Amino acid sequence: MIKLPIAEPSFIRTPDANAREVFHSFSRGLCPSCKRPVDGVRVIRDGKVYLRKQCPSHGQSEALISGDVDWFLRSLTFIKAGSIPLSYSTPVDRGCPNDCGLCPDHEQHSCLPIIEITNHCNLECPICIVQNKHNYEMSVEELGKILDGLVAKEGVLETINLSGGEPTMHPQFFQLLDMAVAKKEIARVSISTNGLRCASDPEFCVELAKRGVYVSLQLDALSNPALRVLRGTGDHRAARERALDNLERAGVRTTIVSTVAKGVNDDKIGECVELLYSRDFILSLMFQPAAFTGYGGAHFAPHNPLDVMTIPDVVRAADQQSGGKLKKSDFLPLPCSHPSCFALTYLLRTEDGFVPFPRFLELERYMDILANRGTIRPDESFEGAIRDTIDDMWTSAAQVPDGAKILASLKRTIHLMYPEERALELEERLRIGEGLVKTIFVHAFMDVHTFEVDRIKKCCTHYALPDGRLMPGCAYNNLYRDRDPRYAGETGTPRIWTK
Amino acid sequence: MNPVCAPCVTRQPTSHLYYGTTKSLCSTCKRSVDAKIHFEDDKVWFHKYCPEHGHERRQVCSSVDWYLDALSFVAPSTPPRGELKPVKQGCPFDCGPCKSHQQKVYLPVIPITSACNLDCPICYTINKNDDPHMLSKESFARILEHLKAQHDELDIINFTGGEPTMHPELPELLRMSRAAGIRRLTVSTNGIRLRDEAYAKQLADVDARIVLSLDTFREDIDQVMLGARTVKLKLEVLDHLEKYDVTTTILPAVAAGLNDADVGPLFDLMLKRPNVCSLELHTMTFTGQGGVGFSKAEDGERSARISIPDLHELLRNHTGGRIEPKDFVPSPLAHPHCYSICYVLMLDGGGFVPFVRFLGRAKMYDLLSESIYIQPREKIETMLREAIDELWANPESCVEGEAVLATLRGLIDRMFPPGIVLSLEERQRIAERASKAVYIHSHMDEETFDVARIMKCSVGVPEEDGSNIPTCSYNILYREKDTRFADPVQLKERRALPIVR
Repeated sequence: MIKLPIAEPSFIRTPDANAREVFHSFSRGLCPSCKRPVDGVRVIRDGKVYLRKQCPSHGQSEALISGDVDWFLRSLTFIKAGSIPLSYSTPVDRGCPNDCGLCPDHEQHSCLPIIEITNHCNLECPICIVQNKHNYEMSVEELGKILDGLVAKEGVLETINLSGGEPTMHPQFFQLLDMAVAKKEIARVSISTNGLRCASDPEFCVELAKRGVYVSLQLDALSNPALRVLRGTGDHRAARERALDNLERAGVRTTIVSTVAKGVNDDKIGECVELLYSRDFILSLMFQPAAFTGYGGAHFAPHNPLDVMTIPDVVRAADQQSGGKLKKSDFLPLPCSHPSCFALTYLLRTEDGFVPFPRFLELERYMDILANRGTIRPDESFEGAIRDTIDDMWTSAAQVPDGAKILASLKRTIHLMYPEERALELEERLRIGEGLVKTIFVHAFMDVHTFEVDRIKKCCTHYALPDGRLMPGCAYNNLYRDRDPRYAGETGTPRIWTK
Repeated sequence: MNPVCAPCVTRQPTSHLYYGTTKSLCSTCKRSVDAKIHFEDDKVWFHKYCPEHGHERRQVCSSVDWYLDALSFVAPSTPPRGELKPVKQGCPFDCGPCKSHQQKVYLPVIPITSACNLDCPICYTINKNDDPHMLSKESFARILEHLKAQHDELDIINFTGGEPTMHPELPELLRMSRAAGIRRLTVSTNGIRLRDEAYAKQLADVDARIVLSLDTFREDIDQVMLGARTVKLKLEVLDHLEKYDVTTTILPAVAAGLNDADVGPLFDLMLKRPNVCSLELHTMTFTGQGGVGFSKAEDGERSARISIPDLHELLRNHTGGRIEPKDFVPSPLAHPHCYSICYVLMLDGGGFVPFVRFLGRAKMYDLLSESIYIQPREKIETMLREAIDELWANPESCVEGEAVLATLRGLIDRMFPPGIVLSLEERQRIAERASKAVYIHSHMDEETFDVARIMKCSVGVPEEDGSNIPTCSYNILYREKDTRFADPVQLKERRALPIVR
């Protein structure tokens, strides 16, 4: 019996396979003109993978879906079983993706629920993937219902995320945040923010730190021309630096979220990696290849769907721009989501820097460690993997580059996280782990060009709606958001920064 | 309870792995529906949903290992040429082929008549004997013209029916094809008419190749599958074919629990008869006038369902490991789940060794990239010479290395004699007496239908208007609407017949 994921799958190609177009598979997508579900095929050409669709009314369209065929082929052998929510909100009726909420045909639970508490925003980012109408603020009752619904469906949750719009603009922000933090079934609460409030209000950061809240800070680059293209007017560089300083000073555990647009900031990936390596309060880094939905989809139109960033393009750029810190081989597809949606690597802190886990540990062998989480889960399987690796390296450390250093770090990790004197609470261990292991994710959202029914069925990033539905992220962004009854009214007045 | 560790306690992992989604057909109404591809119990399942008929779960392959192994082979597409149908309803309802089709036809299959002298319970197509359809010479000539225009060089066509030998002008149609420059003409037959030795000789004289359906050596099983006892007759026919040295393929439709035990003996028959150059195993498919009801239980399950990896296992067991599953490769010209192919070299001193053992899988796959059936062109000479060099340097690298080396040298000398250029036909004959092939060909029915496979189909049914329809689409959706072959009233009665077994 075959064991998935396959660590090193081999592929046999005819000699002319690289010179001509290869049909890979069928995939149902959306017509970029009318958004109706249409037949598509995945084809391989010039080492890349394209989705080619045929619409009965609008003819043929094509989009790049993977910038590296080797990554793509390997990723499809990289899967593990999904997990079933305790209940569903919608029946299977019209068929995917028209029954979202989740329906019983969905293949993954809500690993990362996102709650959009407002659609007000003080930025007007040209790359925004949502369509903010500046007319909605979530009520306390609505959030209460959503949180209860999440607990009913998930039992307990490792993380929930409050987002928007810009969630920090919600007049009752802390009241809503405290409701989420107080929920004992929810282990961690994170907020997604553009950082403007963090930059202008150090006290706000202190309040976040007090509550143990994690911040996902939008930061596409550290230099301005690129930022302005993606984020609009204003001195974003100064704002982001102040936000970083305030968060650091307050001790807020932070994730950097960088939207990567081809030709705009894809040369700043090394800069973001450097930031992760150099500042302790930054636990993880999330790259999101730009998806062209919502406001951004309209603003960047017409973008060239054949020339966009994909997961392996980000991985390649990280390899090229990090001065040897990261290699392509350090990254793996995430097997619990659809393998085309996520990639990741973990970094172990050593005495003088970080070493990616795949350099000393076959992550494929330790599937339970790989998860869509901001940090590693320090449970028994993690401990087992580290102890196994220490045993392996005892004999082979001489052959592994930096072997002695890694071995010392692993021993220190075990010593700190699993001390012999007393058993630590998992939460305490998690805190220690955050200081020892950092994470880099790449998360690819889909737009009408790249949308695949195949992928949406295993989506684990879900928007939680007040009506109880949990909407797979890209289905919601592409097909449901513009019909959300919450935003049905007149568009409100935006309060845009610098305007 | 600490929440961070708790999800593994409260939520359960699925018992399956979700591999992806393709498009299949609802088994009840044949409309196209999403099919989630699940791996469970080491098998591959389609989990379909039809808005009208609900959920349906079907096993499509008995081994995840083989399913993924086949998908690890990558070959370029050769799209069809000429006028393509527009995409209107989506695959597979725009056939002809349409603009979504990914592969041109490499094996045209031409049903020249609807008449048949058997009425097989397993028949996976639809025929009628009342007012039977007989393809006219004029229509056939037009089909040939289109085929020639669509191909730089057409290597092969297949004549089928009904029973093609019931077409009074079959020899003439064969001669017309020969005149059109097509080298391999294969006739798929149940063999009944070939018992007439003079007729057999007549086909041999135009160098037709016979694809003889022979499912079993057991008359009782034959009765269940074909509704007749034909074994003795077919063995007689095989003697005629051997007498006239007609290149022959044995084609069993393999049904689990019925004739799967015959696969080994049929393989032995191929080895034994010098003119039998290949065994083409068709996994039982449940379409057509017989197939739709065959071995169907009340819950829709098919006891006779069998898939490619099952046949690999049968052959492995029968040959004591002289043929292993990894000795098979897919066809680069079709979807990798449609064909599984193993060539064996017949050693001079007796016995055989699979080509993969001395060529490796990559070269074997490459050898198949010009035609569904290997053509003995220069590429094979180069590869065999490389294999000879390799074996010369390292005879231990292959089972029976010395014997393989000696056989290959003799074969190269005969196929590519120094100073003489043999015709492709002459080389083909030499190659086919020195090697044999097992082709496993898996057709689809509405239960196992996968749109990815049909998009890459290279086996087409050509019409005189220049169109052609991929075979499994044809069998499932199009033939039943073609009144030349299907009598709607008769068909309806047949479908109402009680379930067999």
